[in-house]
Amino acid sequence: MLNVEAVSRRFARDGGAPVVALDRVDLTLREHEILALVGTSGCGKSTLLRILSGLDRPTSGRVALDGRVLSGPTPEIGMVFQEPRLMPWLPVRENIRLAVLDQPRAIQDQRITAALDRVGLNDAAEAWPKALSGGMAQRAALARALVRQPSILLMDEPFSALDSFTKTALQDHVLDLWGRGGFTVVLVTHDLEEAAVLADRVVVMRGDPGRVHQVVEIDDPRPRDRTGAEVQRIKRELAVSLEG
Amino acid sequence: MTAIEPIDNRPAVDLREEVARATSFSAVLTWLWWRAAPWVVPAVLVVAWEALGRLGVFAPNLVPPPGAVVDAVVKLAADGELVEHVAVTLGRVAAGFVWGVAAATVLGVATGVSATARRLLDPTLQALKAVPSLAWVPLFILWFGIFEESKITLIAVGVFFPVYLNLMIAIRGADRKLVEVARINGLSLWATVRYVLVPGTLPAYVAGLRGGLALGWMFVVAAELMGASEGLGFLMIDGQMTGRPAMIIAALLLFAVTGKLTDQLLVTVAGRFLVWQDSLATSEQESSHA
Ligand SMILES: Nc1ncnc2c1ncn2[C@@H]1O[C@H](COP(=O)(O)OP(=O)(O)OP(=O)(O)O)[C@@H](O)[C@H]1O
Ligand SMILES: [Mg+2]
Repeated sequence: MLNVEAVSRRFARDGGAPVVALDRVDLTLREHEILALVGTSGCGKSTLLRILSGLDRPTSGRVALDGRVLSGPTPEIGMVFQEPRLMPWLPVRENIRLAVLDQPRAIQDQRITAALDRVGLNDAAEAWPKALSGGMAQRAALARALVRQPSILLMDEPFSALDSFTKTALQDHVLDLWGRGGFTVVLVTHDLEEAAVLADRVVVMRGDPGRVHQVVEIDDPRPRDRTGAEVQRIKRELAVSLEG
Repeated sequence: MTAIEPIDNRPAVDLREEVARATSFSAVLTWLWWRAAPWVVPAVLVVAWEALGRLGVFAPNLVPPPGAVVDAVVKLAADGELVEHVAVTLGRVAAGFVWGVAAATVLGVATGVSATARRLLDPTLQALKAVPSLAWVPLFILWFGIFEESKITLIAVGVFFPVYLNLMIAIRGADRKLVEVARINGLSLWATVRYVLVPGTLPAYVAGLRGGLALGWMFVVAAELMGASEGLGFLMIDGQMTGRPAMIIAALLLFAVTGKLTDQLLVTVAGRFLVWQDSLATSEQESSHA
């Protein structure tokens, strides 16, 4: 699994002390959990996720995947960004193919079809990205991440640009995929209800310098009732942890 | 010359479908009017031109009537001269375009990709750009003579700058977020270029090509006016020397038509690669057909 060991990340700032986006963060992912990362804006959530993905490197400390130091992106770790980031010049199917270019053609097609199936986008396989709704585009992005069959799926506020109905539907969908998939999810969110409904653990971060403030374990069995007392209680607990 | 317009990717209108849509007589009229509207102003101008000519407002030896211009074109065509002159001019534009685009593409990619190359080359190129291109003429004639080389070089210089600038700026502005998608999916450098960078810069590159082509046409006129024994520019000078304004106007129209056709060709070819674009033109088309 993924181990974050004393990871710090500083960004140089013109004329002044560097920004300490992450300050000696330790974190160990568990097999097949959903971990939510919450915290105020600028506290380093995206920075941490980018380091976990291999897109960015820590200034000090290290990230190890199954004991090996992570030195860049790997097929075992998938990423869904806040925006779908589809190539506008490729139809949905070809966008997803980008994630499996290293496979033989027959396997590509087979896996793409399966991924489209899983996110319910079979009918839109040949569509241009410009023709997709926000929710569909984000599903396509999800399919592109899943088609590589990662063991860890990182998501940076993947639902934040969606209307609440689409958001809820997609949350349930991700939960369903996760339930069948066996992968681990790290989800950055600023929506405490999203964290309370989806997560096994919630890491509450505080910024300046970016540190892990508290880790909240959630034992509430799934499926959880969004309006139920337990979800509301966890939301309150998270809110207190964020502000207190 | 023509300004750079956004590419019109609309599919050709299906006539029957359009007519079927027009459920009433007034809708048919509206549709006809819409189709005919672009031709109204030119038609009025031609009629006025002919009428004023007959009324004796214009001196016939300076402003020939439209009929005389048509005659001039027909006569040139019959002699086989028309095709020859058009072909010579087109050949010059094509040669200058190819050289200009080739140089602009190599240098635009280099300065777009590498900060070192940009630091090294871009200031010089920008300085050269500040020279009004026609000011090169005496030097080119001295260096390359009065024949094809100097003309083609001049046209190539004209073509170069819009293509170079558009390409460099587009590559520099490549969407970092999409490049990250390529990285996270383990795309090779080649695959990143092919699936991310080239398609991403293509719209700006095509805009540069169109601007370059427009300048190529402008410069071929300059080059041919300076001295040529064939080509549309030569026809104009010839018409001027021999007092045949109909010939000058005929050459002018031929410039307009061939220039527009080459631009249209470029747009049509490029349009095949740009159907994905969420341009104003396509979204208008989609909503009006919804
Ligand atoms: N590439 C960068 N260059 C300079 N500073 C950066 C860079 N990326 C992040 N930072 C800084 O690091 C800090 C953490 O940023 P980060 O994007 O990780 O925050 P976040 O928790 O994701 O915030 P949000 O909830 O607004 O997305 C901020 O102060 C930010 O300005
Ligand atoms: Mg963020």
